[in-house]
Amino acid sequence: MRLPPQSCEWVDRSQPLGFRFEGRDYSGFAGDTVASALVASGASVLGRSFKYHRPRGLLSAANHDVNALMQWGGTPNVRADATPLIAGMDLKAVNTFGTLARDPGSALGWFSRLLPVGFYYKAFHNKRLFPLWERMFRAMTGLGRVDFATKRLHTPKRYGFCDVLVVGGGTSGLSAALAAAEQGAQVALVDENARLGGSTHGASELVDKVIAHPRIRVFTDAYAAGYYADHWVPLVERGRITKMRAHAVVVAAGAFEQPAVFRCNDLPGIMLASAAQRLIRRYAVRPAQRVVVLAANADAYRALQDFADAGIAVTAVIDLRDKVPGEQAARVAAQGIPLYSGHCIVEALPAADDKRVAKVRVAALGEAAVVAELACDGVFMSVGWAPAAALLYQAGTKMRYDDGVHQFVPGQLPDGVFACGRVNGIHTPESRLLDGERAGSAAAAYCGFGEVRDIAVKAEMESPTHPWPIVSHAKGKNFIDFDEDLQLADLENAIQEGFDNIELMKRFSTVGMGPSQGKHSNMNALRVLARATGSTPGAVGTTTARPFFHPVPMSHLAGRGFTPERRTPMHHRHAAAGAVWMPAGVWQRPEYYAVAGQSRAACIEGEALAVRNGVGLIDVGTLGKLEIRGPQAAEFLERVYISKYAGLKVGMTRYAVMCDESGVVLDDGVVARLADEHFYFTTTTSGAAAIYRELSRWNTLWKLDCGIVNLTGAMAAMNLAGPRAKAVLEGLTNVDLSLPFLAVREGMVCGVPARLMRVGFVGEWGVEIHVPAEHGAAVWDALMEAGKAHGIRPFGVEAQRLLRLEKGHIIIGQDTDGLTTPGEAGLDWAVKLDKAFFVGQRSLMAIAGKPRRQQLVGFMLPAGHQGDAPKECHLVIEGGEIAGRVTSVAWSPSLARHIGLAYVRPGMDAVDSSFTIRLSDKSLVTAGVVKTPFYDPDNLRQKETT
Amino acid sequence: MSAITFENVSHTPRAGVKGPGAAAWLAALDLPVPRAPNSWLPLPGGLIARLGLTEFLVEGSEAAKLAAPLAPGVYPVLRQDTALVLHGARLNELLLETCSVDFRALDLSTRPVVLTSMVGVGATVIPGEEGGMPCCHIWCDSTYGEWFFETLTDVAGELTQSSQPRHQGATS
Amino acid sequence: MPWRLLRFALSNKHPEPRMFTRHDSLKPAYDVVIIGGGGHGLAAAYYLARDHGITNVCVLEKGYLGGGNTGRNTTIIRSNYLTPEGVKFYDESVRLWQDLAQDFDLNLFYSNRGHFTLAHTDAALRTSRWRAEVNKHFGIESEVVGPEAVKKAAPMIDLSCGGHAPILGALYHAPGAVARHDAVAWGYGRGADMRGVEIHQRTEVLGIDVVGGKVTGVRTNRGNISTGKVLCAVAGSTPRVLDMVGIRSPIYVHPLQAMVSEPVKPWLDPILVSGSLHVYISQSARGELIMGASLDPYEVQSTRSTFDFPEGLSAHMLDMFPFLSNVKVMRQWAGMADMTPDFAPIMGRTPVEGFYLDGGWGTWGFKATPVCGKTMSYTVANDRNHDLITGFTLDRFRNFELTGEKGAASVGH
Repeated sequence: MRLPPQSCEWVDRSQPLGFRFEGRDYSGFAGDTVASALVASGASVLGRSFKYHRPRGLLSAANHDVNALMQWGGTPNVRADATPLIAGMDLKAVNTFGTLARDPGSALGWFSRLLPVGFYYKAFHNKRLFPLWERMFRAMTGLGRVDFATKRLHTPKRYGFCDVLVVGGGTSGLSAALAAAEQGAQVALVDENARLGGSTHGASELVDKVIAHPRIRVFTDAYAAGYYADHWVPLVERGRITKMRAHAVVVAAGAFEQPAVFRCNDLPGIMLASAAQRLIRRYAVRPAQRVVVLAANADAYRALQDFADAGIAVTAVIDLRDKVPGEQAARVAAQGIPLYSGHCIVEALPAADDKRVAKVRVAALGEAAVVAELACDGVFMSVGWAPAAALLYQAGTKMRYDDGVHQFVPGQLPDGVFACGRVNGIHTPESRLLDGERAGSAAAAYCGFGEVRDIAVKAEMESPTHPWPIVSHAKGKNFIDFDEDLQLADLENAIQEGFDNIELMKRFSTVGMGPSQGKHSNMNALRVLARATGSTPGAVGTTTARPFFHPVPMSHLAGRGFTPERRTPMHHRHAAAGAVWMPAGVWQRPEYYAVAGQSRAACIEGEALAVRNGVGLIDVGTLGKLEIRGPQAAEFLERVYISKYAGLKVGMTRYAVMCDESGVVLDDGVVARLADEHFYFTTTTSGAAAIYRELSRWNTLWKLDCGIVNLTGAMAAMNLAGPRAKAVLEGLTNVDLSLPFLAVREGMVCGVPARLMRVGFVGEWGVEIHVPAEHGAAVWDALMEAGKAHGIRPFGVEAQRLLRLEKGHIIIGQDTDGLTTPGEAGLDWAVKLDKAFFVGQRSLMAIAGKPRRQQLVGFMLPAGHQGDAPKECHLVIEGGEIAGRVTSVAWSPSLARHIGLAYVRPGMDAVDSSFTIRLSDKSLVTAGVVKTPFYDPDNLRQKETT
Repeated sequence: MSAITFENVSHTPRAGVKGPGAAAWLAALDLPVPRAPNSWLPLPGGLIARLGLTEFLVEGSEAAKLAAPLAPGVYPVLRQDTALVLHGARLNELLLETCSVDFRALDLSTRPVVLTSMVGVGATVIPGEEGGMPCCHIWCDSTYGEWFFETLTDVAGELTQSSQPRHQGATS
Repeated sequence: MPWRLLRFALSNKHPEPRMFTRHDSLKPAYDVVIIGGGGHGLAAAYYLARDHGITNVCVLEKGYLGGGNTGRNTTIIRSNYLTPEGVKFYDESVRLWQDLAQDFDLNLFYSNRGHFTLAHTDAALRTSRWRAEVNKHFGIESEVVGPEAVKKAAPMIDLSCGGHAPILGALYHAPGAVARHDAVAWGYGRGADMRGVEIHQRTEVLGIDVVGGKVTGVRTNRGNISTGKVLCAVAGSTPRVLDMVGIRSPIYVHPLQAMVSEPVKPWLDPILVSGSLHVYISQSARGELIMGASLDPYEVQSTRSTFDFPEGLSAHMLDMFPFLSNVKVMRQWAGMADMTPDFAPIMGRTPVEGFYLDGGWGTWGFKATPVCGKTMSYTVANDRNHDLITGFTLDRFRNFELTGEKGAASVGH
């Protein structure tokens, strides 16, 4: 029921909002949560429990009410107690069979005796029937429903910085924030509620002071998701995440009020006293008319005033404590409310025709005999608190159990982490204020602002928490975990079965594994375990506290999801020429250039033939490009590559292979000597970044007199190749194009400084032209223009793959894998074991003495081969065993044959012998071993000097 | 005026050099050499930045001086950057959404140079102030340049369009 | 029909006996001491007792039973590895998994879902084909399929992955399955316990005595034990225990993180792994989405969580399944992956007589739990490496005979 306007209520009555829940129309106000609006309208059943589908109402109104999860259109698992009401919302309860009102799933409650803790481990594992049982479980499991039509949400993240981060805007947090700010620190204060103030619900001078303070930045409606190393705390706001980096963190996160455990403690209408207070003060909602208050601390008695103000009749106060402090007892007496001290509720009962609580049975603590049956439509529980210490645990705090306040408190805090208030075991309001001041001052001083103020905080005189708010009952249904529908007996049984430490008990029973992650259940479970094993809560300990404090939407975590892309300077030329793109790491490369009316294969073949018969141009700018200078530059290269470079002539290039320390081939490229002490060398596209890092690391260790510069992005590179290539280039360069095969020249091309290397990768006369990136597009254009008369075609990665295969050149990572050594790949000739030292030498020497495991050979299929051709990685089969695999294979238009490279067992590599390849459909193909290169075996075309 | 302006200054002449002999070599060319790592000094029409311990970037007409003959321990670094100058009242918000460095904590009088990553791309950033508003000069590898520019302008665009709810007591 | 449950209903007291006997103290001597009370250690104990009649065994666990990687992994079981040694080994494991629940009389929720390793590049497709061909050669169901097969199994997937990395095909492995990881430890533990093996939790090994190159005893925080056989099965703690016997290994430890969503109604049937995006996802019997990615890229012996992990994983997950935007991540955690240079484990006898190693399990350990137990128990009982593990010896590194699983292990768990 809605109350008359409360001072400082959070609802705005001038903005009524209509919404639907379970097909019925309701209304509330702006500032309501979904739950408060429903309760205001008299609804007490907000959802059904996970296992037994029992009707459930509000428990905490503090974002722990997993039984009030709702489906809002395509959004699953909306928390009704923490979600602001929006006009037009159309909500349904989750995980009901049928409707919330009539859920046949509740019949499971009748079977609860058949469903003890871990029941699903004890049965349903008949091998034949399990798939059937699994279908049944899957039909019943899960809460909300995903909607495949939901579009990707982009919620931008941002970083944030402060000196002191205060987590929690209740009394102690506000006090800490002010104290820190007053000492000069920049403070960020975060609270998950819509307003600051904690249990004062926003109505306080303290709140006003904090809001007004210029050095305090407030984040409300936001929570600290976790504590990560170096005081990094992501703040999850409604629309995004702020990744806050602080220099000190004050955890003033408070405590979770805990439920009492008695038979049917889950009936709608039974809630935490703090939940009732929130409803009354924030939303002007009266959740019940006649209530029984179950008490065990001073908080319960302070709350009585709120209940009275709301016109709630308190039938009786049942206090678990034998001796109720005089001041508290007096309050009750003054209002004419009967007090049952040393008593407990043993059972709650619903009305016959309703699901809501209608009466409770009371007995003396420890006795079975019911001494009273009290009619009520609500029970407010105030029996204790569990600290919201997750962030403290994650920061590495050593917590200890304090017998004075019956809770875990920080024992040893890490540097820069402070705690105050209820999470620190301080509960009295005046003390919380002081404790916050103490912690805020210390945090600011830690950051270098001001001095630590010595503020004494009195320890609590009485415990705010009852050490055993739990009542057994032979008929059960006394719930410890409302998310998972776990009863007291479930935990006792789990312990009895041997799951008798805190982690095993959790995993077997699933206590604390639901969406609220044990906020209302872990403490009671821990107490049960301690008692059952004759131990203490401190010795039993807690399970690992992991992020997140509340579940975080994936959209918030993903943020924009930056996926950087690299493009060569000729990127747009390729696009304009019809390039079909293929990703190469973060780069985009043309796979081939589409020609209208031609298939992919035809385009690739056309490009390859253009290179063979005319001239082609390919952008090889994604290659790694490195430059090394210095008196020991040659020495450095001697050490990192397997071949010799000390004697490489100035103006010449040499193929280069790099191995790791175990002798495995890592990368290849070309080394060009531009001067005695100046080399320019290339790596594969995918190897570039890692190789530069690795070379830098080596030189840090070796300290050779040389310097390495990474020019990968700074240089554009293209390969002009074909019998007409020289003609195209003539006139565009001042370099003498009779330069010998494998030579390198520095000169001008199209008016820009360039490095030209006569290379042989594709097997035709060709030069690789490297120019500074800013000139790449212009040089490309000029070459394409000059080439028009010669029928020049741009060619892409696939054509290049084919051309190099015709020459028998390997591709690292395709014709080699994570274990290939040079000899296996046919690179024995490149290995110079007689060098003084190179990376991998020692391993290669050891391996040289061992029998080779495999050998890469060239093969061809018979002329006129019909049927499917092998693909890469089809296996070579010999004697029914795996004897190798194909690594590269293609139809060569120049040779009119299928050609390829394959690993075979040593002994199978004799030229003109044949071997068998097995295709995916198990058919076999015969391949003949041939020498490579397949095309122009004497390399006349690429070496030609005329 | 809440827009963030982007100026593409990629074509400004610039040159780089690194190595144990670089600092002395630059001094011998009559260029002022920043003493502290990751700091910069103004030059007529440009600047000289010390990147880490032994690498330097010279921008502006003075960059032509780096074509001088090399000395031992001096290695030229070809600079082909995408270079941008960003300016505007809401620049800090853009930086907060794209980079993990706390730029506002830097003391501009020490002329800091920040080597970091923005939107996942390695970037060199020099923060500054102009006309009372924050500005910064950013360099990144030009092969990332297009994507980098598109992404930053997207983020800037979203920022200047959005109306984020103001927080209680916000002062930033 | 689950008759067992009827028994519960009709009985007044909870009739279930303890699964794990509590032992007040260690005996002065055991025939075999197993260090590590996770899946592997408990499985070895189980088979030692059941198949080899060796019951004077203790399992020493420094934390709680199954509390290491057994309780932290993302529960994927498959045999689609790359090398013949690997394939035969994991295939035997999959065979053992089929009847494990019946052996234990404990439901492991072993659920055959089908496993797709998505290929976004032609290089990945090639590796997929390699694995498929090797698998088929040994009679294991594996095949390369096109994007339409992926779409059929998961119709709601965005095949273009946000436009960044279109799915070109996948390696499909029909036997791919998931199981309830904790239950496997409990099953092996109970089975071993029933047969006389002593499981000692909260018992930390502080040193191992080696005399004349032979193991003679183990020192713990609860007393000393003399024994002639020690099996080390401690995953991320392997380097520390190897130090105790002076053995060097190439194992290096990286953290491996994972995360889980709130429970939602089941929508994802198969297990999906993406090699390029380095993420994987499956949906548990509780309706939770279990998600993981690749190793943290640095060596650290720690199980701490980092924030960049769920950030990056979520971004890639939303590339594949954009509609998960409003699904919430409930919890993240981490374990320590003991990696090897060739992504294959290190198993069997060692240079120290009586000291047997079961380690180097990186990201591929959970699925091997049964075959590990089987082969290590044989090895310990006979002081001879079981045939299935001869490709995984410690000295293979010295002999340059690596078992190259890099193409099949990393990320595909």
